Amino acid sequence: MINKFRIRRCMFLMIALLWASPSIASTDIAIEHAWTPQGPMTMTMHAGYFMLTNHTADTLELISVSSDHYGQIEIHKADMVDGLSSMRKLNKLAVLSHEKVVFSPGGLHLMMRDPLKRLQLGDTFIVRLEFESDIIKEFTMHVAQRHMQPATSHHGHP
Amino acid sequence: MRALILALTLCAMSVQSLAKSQAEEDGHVTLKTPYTVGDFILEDHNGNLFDQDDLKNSWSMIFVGFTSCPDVCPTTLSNLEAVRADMGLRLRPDSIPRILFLAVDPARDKPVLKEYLGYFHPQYLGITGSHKQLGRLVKSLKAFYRLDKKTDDDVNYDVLHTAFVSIINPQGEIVAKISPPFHPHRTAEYLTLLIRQVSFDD
Repeated sequence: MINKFRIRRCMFLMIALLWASPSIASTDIAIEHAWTPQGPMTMTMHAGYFMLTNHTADTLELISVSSDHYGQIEIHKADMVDGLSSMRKLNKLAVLSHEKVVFSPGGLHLMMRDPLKRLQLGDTFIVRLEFESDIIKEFTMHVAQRHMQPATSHHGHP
Repeated sequence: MRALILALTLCAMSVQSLAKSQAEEDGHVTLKTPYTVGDFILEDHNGNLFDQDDLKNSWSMIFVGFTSCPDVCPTTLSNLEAVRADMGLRLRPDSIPRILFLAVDPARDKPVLKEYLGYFHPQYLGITGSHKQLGRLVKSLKAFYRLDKKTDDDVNYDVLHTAFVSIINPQGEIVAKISPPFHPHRTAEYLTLLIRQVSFDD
């Protein structure tokens, strides 16, 4: 009797844990056209661009971005107010259900600081997006010429 | 015959009006009264002195920026090169404006300016100097910049700056301003008309 009770309690706990853990699969977050422009070697701050689509039924909050190739990555937005150009750091970014957010030149972008090695045209590296509720999405970013964006989609590595 | 002349005149006025409204929509402004750039003494990225007289004898596009800028400045420099490439199909090479990059963060810009600009185009010319002299040219351009340092030892600061590009004629006068996003084809079209002395304001 005690064993049955323990087994039921254990099953209940397991179900509760499963319910509480993130149910969003990595494929529910799509990343396309992830690229960083090849730039002058003197630059120690690079911009990263991509398209992010939230295919889930919930709003996702992007709270952190990282990569083994950069010391620090921040989410930035280029603002143009009264003809003045400036950068604004975003501490988080909400992506609504089924919304597509475009990181593009002159707008929303990743500000990738302190590259650990010089990247050449055609090089790739992994970028890691961390959303609230411990949801992680990794994808490959390509180094491309500024006027050329990779034509193919680059989905992540779950 | 009179009717034909009237129709052609109306047609020409309509085309000019459309071109003017497209220019305004694109953020291109032709100054009604061009004015001469005031005195300043800066240094180009080869170490040569560069002053107001060096703005004469060719068309120039001056852009205020800084080399640590990861997004807006490289995007603008690339777009301006696309504009120049488009203009190459419309104008003689010596009529195409050169690009002058006014680097307003000299402490970080000066050591890397030549290599930075060389990446975009070997003929781009960077000019920089003391904040006092930069301020004189910036004031002439009716532009603005500010180093947004959070603390004295902040090395990762942003620089707020105006995003427009000033167009200077071979007499050293500012005649127009163009603003982002610098659509290559339409900007080239506007500048070509400007350089051919077709003023939308006449």
